Amino acid sequence: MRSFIVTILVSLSGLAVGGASALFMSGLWPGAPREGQSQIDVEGWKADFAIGTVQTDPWSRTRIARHGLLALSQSEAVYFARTTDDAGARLTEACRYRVSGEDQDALWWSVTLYDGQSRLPMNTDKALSFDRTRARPGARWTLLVQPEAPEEGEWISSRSAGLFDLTLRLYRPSEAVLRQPEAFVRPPRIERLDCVGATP
Amino acid sequence: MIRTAIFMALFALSLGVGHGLVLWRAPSVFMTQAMERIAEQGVGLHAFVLAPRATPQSQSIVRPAPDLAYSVCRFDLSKGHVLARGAVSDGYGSLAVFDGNTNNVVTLSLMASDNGPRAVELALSGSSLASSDDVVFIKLSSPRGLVLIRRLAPDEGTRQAVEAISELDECKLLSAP
Repeated sequence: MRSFIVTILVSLSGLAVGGASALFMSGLWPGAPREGQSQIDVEGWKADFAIGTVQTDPWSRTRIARHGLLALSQSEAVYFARTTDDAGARLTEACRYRVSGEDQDALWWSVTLYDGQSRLPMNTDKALSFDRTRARPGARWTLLVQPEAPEEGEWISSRSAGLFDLTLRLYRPSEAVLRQPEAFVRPPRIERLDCVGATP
Repeated sequence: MIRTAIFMALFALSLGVGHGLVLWRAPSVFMTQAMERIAEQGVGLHAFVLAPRATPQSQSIVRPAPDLAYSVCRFDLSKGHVLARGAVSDGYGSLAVFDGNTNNVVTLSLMASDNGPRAVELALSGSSLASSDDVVFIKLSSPRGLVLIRRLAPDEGTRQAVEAISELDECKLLSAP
């Protein structure tokens, strides 16, 4: 009887540890890194070009199913996310940022803010993103990311976002972007302006 | 000593099984949850529905793009073959099929500047499909999934144009399996 109970306990423990390790390696365990094995890093903007494909490894597939469900495969769109500013500090609602960039080698691009749960932040500011149709052709663009509307200029609202990330979407990226993203993606800069209260 | 070795082997085996089970089931569980949320918002089977503009209050999937208009069709291939066709327009548009395991099985362009098929016929593996130049035929191993049309609609003007174009999208059950 004792052996039977020990057998059950050992089996259940193994199942639990195995399940937890799968969640951790997929970035779904609280505090676990969300980076996949096919990670591309362009000055802090990170992407996984295997998204949406059958070839995706099972850990990436699980992570993407939770944080990027219904994402398109790389020939149609690539997604870069950034969680830190240019100095390496975590992006947070408690701070204001100046984000600047230039046109991308793609049919269309956008920058969107998502909260820690990969959702649009729960505010009513109607300032969730910035896209190519609002940028002057061929010119650099600048916007503010902050919880209150600025007096003038483009902005993305971080109100109710807590710790957040910015996602850069490139739809119909060029062959050059897909082949050598480090050389052909033009990563937007994220400069922290000031903060209120304690920051992470 | 032997008993300890047996229990260690049993723990390692259970660990592998637990790890594999989570990786095998998690994507389809997340996909099923998403399809259920979409169904709760009034998207029936085999018909495209244009989703309201993505806002913090309306989002039913993670990371929606607020600059895009989404038309979605839920399908169930256990009921027969399904045809999905997207209307063509000048701006960015695509029709993408996602199977029950989250794979982006195929993506078609709906842009007037591109050539190529604008429709996809879906069937379960083992079904027979005739070939055609203007329809892409896809066999899936799982019966349920989503067809998602994305169109660029960053402002109210383009959104209204997309609403008119999306009326021409088609998603329908073709035949019994």
